[in-house]
Amino acid sequence: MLRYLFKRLLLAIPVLWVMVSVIFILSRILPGTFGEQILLADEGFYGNGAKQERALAYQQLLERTNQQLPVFYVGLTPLSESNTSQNYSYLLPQFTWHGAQNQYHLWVSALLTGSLGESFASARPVNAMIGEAAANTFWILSISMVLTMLLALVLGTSMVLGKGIRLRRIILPALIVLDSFPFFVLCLLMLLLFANPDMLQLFPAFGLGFLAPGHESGFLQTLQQFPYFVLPILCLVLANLPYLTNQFYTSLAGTMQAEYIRTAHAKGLTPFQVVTHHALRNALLPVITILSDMIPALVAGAVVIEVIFAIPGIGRLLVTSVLARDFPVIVGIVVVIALVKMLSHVVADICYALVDPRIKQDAR
Amino acid sequence: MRKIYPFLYCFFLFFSFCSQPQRQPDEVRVRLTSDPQTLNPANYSDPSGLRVINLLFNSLLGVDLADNELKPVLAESMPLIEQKGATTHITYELREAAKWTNGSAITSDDIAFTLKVLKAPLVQNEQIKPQVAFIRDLILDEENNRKFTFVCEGFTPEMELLSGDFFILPAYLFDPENLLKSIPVAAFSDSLSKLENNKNIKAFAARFNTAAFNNSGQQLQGSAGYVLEKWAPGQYLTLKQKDDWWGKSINVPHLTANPKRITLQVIPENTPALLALKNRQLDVLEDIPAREFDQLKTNKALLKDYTLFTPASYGSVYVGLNSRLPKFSDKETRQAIAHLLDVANYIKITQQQYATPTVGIIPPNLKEYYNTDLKPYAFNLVKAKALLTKAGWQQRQSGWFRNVNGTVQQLTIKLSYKASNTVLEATALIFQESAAKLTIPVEVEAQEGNLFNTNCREHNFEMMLRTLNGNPFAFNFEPLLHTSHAEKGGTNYTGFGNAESDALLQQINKAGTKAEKARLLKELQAVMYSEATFIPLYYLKERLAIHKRFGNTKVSGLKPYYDVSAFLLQK
Repeated sequence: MLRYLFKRLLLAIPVLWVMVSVIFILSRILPGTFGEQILLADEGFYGNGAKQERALAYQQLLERTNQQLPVFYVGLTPLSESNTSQNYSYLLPQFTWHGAQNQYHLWVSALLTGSLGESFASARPVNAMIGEAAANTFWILSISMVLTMLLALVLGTSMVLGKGIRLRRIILPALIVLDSFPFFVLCLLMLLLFANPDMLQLFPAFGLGFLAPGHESGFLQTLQQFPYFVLPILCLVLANLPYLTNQFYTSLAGTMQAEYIRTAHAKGLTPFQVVTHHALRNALLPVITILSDMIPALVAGAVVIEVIFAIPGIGRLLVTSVLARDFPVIVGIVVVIALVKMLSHVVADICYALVDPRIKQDAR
Repeated sequence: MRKIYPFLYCFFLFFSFCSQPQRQPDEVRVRLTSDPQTLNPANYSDPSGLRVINLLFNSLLGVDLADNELKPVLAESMPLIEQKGATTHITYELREAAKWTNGSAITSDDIAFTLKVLKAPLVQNEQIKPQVAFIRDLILDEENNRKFTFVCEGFTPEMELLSGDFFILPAYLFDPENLLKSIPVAAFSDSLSKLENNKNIKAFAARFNTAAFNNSGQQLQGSAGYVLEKWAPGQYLTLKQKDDWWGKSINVPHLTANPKRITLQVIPENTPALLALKNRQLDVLEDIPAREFDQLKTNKALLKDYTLFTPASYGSVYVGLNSRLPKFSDKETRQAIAHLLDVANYIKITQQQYATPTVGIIPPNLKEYYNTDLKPYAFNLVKAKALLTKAGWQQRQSGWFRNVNGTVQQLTIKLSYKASNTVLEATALIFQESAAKLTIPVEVEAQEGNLFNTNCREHNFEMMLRTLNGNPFAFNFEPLLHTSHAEKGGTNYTGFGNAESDALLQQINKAGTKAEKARLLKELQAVMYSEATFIPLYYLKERLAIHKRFGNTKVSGLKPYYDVSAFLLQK
């Protein structure tokens, strides 16, 4: 099994590499560069510096941040610059070799030493920025994922048990209604319902509270911040619950039709025992795949959650960086998300093996 | 019975959240829409960063929001400006009482040091560097170490403002090894390539470019009344009043540091910010959306604690037509389009009446400069039709057509604006409907911010909607309207102007008296009105709420619309 996992990890590395490289190149091709606002300083009732001085300062910024270098080893000559009047050579792309002096090469060289670079905007190491932001996102995503899974499991199981039909008539339409809410609207609704003095003022509306200097860590901090996490976690749970419950239910309902389940019933086991001892293991297999695929969706949810609830995390850092064209931070976050995604697939493989021993055998 | 216990625990835990965090009465809490990118006083670029740095560092001059006048801050008085041939000399004297956090006096050496930092190569200063490029040298007064003269290149009306509008840095704290002291200011104004290899500059830049100069309270200690107590990234910043700030010892009303503590809470979205206000967790909230502001006006509970303000701001919305395009090259066509702009409706729908229509680029509240002889363009289909016919357009069943360079061209409009701006989006859609009444097809296109800016600079647009921020201090419209800025990459996006308007813009900059400036500005408004290339629609009214326990709030139309350092607890 370990050999199998090791093989999976090795295979994942080139995929990860290609994915991150594509993101790196695409992000740099986006219109706009970091610091472009230097050129726009004239848009007012007076000029904030002469035009040529601003162009010089902008050039200095590009050089400091290596943005003036070509993006990749190879470049394509724009059609407007290529000689199209003489022949039909423009039908084939014209490549230019840039050598090692390119942004990608410099970034990869730094990455191999464990550095994701420095933020253009704050000059802080990207590793440190992501490290700071990741904690909140990790807790919100982990807790919401566990809660969603448990709730979906309970609801899915309840719907296939004895009085399940009656329960199904209530739960399934309710989940469809819940699923029809756009996530952004759901978050705002929760805020307006549970953090509003005009309705129910049960939870704080924003942030993670204030901590006096010197009281930044420890159990008290966690306890004080707990209420601030309730609404964001609740929103993520409600957003993911319909899909996951439906998958659990469909998978369980299918398994319940199998011959061995009939045998289990014939043995005199209670319906609950049949589900928990026999049906659940097999029904879990497709759900594990879904759970491992949920990670990127959860990160997308974290973007909305963190912006609306003013919680500092990976999602909000990503939004801020994209708007500011802070490329090292954007690519750093993508690397981290891709890594998590890769690890989640490995964890899914382990879970498969635990749930179904036949997979372990095949791996050998 | 046992089954009830978990429910009871959950019930009590649930309701234990109900209480809101306790507030200190002498703490002012305001909202920031984004975390500051940096607090580096030599390289800030975002409004959030500027707001914080303003409370940590002083500049020579500053705006008193009580009357929107430019006043001396670190300077003893307004500068003496003398034009000497091709140069302008601007002389300042620093206040005797002005001190750094360690108690040492602020001297001309600090001004020289600041200029060197802002001009030096290799140093992170690109955002501010162009602003001080016009200062070529600094002459220190030999007898008075608080007096100095900036030697500036040429003359522009905004020189007074710009010469006093950068934060003065403490040399003792930022350059304890005196690495820059031996290099004269003038050396930084020549070609910087020689200095790039200077060992001292390299050593200084290596230290200055570290994160500590961007976010550390230990390092970011200026001459203003506050120090950075804590920055929780993505959450909040707290600033603590200095115990023995020099500004308290002199009786200058616009030099203030009244609240003991200021907290700037980062809340990106409007809904939680409004809830924070309703929960009494914010003392000030600005930029309140118009609809929500109207709801707050009817919220009696809130009005017991908060006062609502609507100062006339210097922010406006304008329409730009690309006059380089053959279809918009004649002013009759542009005027016809101006008559399709239903400004009254835009103000009613997008601003809930919190805006004032304008005839030109000058804000209507600046009465001495505003041209009251003109009437804003009103929505008028008959006039629009007549003007199009006059311009040679012929109405057919499918629209308006004209012969351009031998080919028949239909009058179509592509209207672009920055995506995610709901006000501009609604405005564009209303215009689309208005134009449809005259069978003019309008394609509305929301563009990503950077793409929109790039397209404007590259003249890759037909008609655009854009916002513009002004002020009451300087009226140098050359970058926006002069033909020398109309090439690709320049900021005269619309291609407005000709030799006459260029001369007028230059005359405005040289105007010796207020009366002359007023006359020329009114003339400019008339020219812009007639050309209808750059069509200002309305000036906004800011909407903000401030807690009633504070007085002396200095609410103003200038950003950030109030002076938080002036807030005084009401007795």
